[in-house]
Amino acid sequence: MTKLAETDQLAIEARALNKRYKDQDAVSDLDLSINRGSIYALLGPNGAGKTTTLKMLMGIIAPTSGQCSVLGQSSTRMDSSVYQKIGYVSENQKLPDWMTLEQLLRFLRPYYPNWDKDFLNKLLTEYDLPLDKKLKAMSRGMRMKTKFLISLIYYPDVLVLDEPFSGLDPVIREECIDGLLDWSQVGNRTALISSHDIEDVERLADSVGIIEAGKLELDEEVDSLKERVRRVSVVISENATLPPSLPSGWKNTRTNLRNIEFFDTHFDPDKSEQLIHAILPGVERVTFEPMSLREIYVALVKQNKKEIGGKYGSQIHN
Amino acid sequence: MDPKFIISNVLKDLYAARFALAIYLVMLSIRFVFVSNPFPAFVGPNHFLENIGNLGLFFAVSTYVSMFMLMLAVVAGWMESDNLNDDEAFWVTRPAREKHLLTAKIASATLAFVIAPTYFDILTGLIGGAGLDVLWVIPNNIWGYGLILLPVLFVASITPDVARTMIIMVATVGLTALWIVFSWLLMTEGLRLQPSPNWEFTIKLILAIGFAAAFVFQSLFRERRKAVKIAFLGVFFAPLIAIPRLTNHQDVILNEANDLESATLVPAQYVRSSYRNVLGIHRIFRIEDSIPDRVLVPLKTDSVLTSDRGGRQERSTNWRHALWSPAPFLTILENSGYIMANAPTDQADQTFRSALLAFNKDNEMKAFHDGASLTLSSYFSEYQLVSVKELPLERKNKLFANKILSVVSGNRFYNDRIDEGPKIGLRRQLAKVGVVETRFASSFNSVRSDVPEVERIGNTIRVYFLYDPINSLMSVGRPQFDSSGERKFHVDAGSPFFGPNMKRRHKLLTFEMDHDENVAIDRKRLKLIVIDVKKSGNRVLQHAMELGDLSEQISAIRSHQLSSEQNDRREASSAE
Repeated sequence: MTKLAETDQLAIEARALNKRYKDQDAVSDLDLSINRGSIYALLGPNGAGKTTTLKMLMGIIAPTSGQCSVLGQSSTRMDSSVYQKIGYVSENQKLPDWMTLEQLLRFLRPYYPNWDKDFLNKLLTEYDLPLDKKLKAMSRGMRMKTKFLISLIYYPDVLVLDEPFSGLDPVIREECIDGLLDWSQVGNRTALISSHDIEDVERLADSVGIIEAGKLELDEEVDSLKERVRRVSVVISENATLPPSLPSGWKNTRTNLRNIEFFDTHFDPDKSEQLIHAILPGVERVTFEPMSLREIYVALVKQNKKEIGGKYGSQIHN
Repeated sequence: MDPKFIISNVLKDLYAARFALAIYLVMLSIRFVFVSNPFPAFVGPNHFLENIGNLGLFFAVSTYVSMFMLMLAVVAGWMESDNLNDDEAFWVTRPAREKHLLTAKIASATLAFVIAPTYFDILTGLIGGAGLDVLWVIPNNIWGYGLILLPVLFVASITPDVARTMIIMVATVGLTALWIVFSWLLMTEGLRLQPSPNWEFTIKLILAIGFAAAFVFQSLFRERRKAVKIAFLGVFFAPLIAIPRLTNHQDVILNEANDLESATLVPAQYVRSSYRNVLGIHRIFRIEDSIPDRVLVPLKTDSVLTSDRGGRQERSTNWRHALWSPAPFLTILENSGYIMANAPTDQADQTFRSALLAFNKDNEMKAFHDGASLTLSSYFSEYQLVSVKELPLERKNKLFANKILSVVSGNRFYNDRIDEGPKIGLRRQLAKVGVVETRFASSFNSVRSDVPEVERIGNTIRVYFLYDPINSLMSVGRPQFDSSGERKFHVDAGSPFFGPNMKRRHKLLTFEMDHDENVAIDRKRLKLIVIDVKKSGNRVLQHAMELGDLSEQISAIRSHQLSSEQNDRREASSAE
């Protein structure tokens, strides 16, 4: 059995984590280590296993096999003391709708020793939430802000966000992010964010993981990732022919007459251009462009789909 | 445990359901008023309900059903609001853990749906003069309401919303009711499900433990796999099918129930019937064992009242003669607290009626013989039946019987309320007079003095009653001896057990007669039966109870008695 590392450095950890539903693996042999103080973005297409992973980490569902922990406590045996240090915001999370926000705050207050009244007032002002309105009468945006509010005001050490910005208008999204940033300023806060809104995540995250078909395909710091991935455009001479095989780090290669485009996932400012000249014949011009996290994500996912044929790639429709 | 959280959660739940709970409390209060009304002008819930007939019945049943539905909705709402089942539930990632939520939910449900009705029941009992016996409502209510709440809690914990909980529960209750009704209507008598108290208790205990275990398991581990749910259901329902086959509960089937040893002792206690119901007669936890100085032998209680209710006669007769109440209708009534005075569950009355039926040689009520046999043995297993006498109807006895009938059927009380016409004649034709003599062990030392039909002579209690097999009419006479030694009887058309509020009526209707009045009566049908019962540990003289050769047995007992008397006389004379 794979054991979890015993270190205080890690806020979140998973080893050989598996979740199987009937005949389908939702999460498969997932290893994950998130350091304290890190903001980690878990990206992946729909159905990749992001939410399942988060739920296993939060102790909401039990893994089929493997182990995971948050703040050193196994997720399958979390007690109240750990949940006092964890915030969880999910797009689908239900709220006690019959309550007003004031009632909810009053109700929650005793359970969080770190409840910060000043921070609460600050967030209430920023979010512009009505205290006397029933939660069921609130708009989607207000409800999401409420979820942020009640997950931030006790300064959790770890915040787990599952699609927190989905379907929110830009203003509310900004407000939520501002709240997150305020929270992250104090102490050694750790966040795990699963989202499709990569631009937003990019502003926050310092590490990123890409999960696909239940497998963690990439796990890296954002800066490092952005540093090593470049969009490459190469112009070759007219008579040149491409070699039969290209380096594995060149992803999503496309050719159009004399132009070749690909993503170099092992970019090295000192060596990459030399490598291109060595492999491709008649190179006339090479351009390297940095990529946004979103572009890297799309490129990697598309490439991966091409390689494994996609989730349903083996199905052929006659 | 975190009491702060539990209290906070309970308060939150109560606040969330405050409107529904207010309605529930109003319903409880209404039920309380009807059950326990202490004012003489208002003769009591039972009479009120009886007098307004079907409307009262409808009211009783609909109140109970409404209370059940409210309870269902509120408990389901509580469960779903904090949704222990849902992985998107609010609380799943909060410091409140499952065991705290579980405890809080049970506490909320207990407070609203066990403690609140128990409070009213205790009030009811205290007003009814039950004294400390009233405390018996506590275990009974925990048991009774727990059996209702546990399935609701469990179903709510595995369903995602209130609507589905409601649908499942209502469908389950409905289907069960249908099953019972159809089994009753369609099956032959021998196959009808007539659970004995033992059997019922076993099943309910298994169900309670099963539901409790499933609910706790489900809530703590949030088990949502379909296979596990199905397994749960299997665990619940398997005992229903298996228990009668795997155990010795033979008495679940009527026609196999002649074994007297299998009968259960269900004695009655002299508390006003509606209170008795509340307190625990006919419930799992009974009160009688703790009150050794009370009259526990099942003597007739307030049968005349019921008998005089005209339109209700057939109905109550039918109910009474069922050994155990035909569910689900009666169960609803019973649980609602709207038990009528001398209602179908008045087992004391049933005992004597059934006893008489069992010895009715004309077999007019043949259909009930099995039940009668069982009932008699049930109640009298603590006492030894020492003699059964069918006395030749001498003129005096006939007159006595007929006079009682005349009084009862012709009294003002009767005429004021019911005009039954021809039935009176019929009733008169079929009247029987019964006398039961019961000898008690020395520990038995008190008989309530306000029970006019009971005469205590030394260690023997003699009960007189008049029996009408068609309408279960019973009347009462306590013999009194005037200065010349003539025996006179009081006929009480009121209820001796209906408490002080009935005194006025009691006096109004009390009739005094002696043996010399001359009223014509049908010789052939009128019989006087004397049953002597003597306590003898927990054994009963079985041969006297066998149904097959009643007349033979009666003759045997008669000769036995005769020879005993002769022996006694011989011994007496030799002693002299």
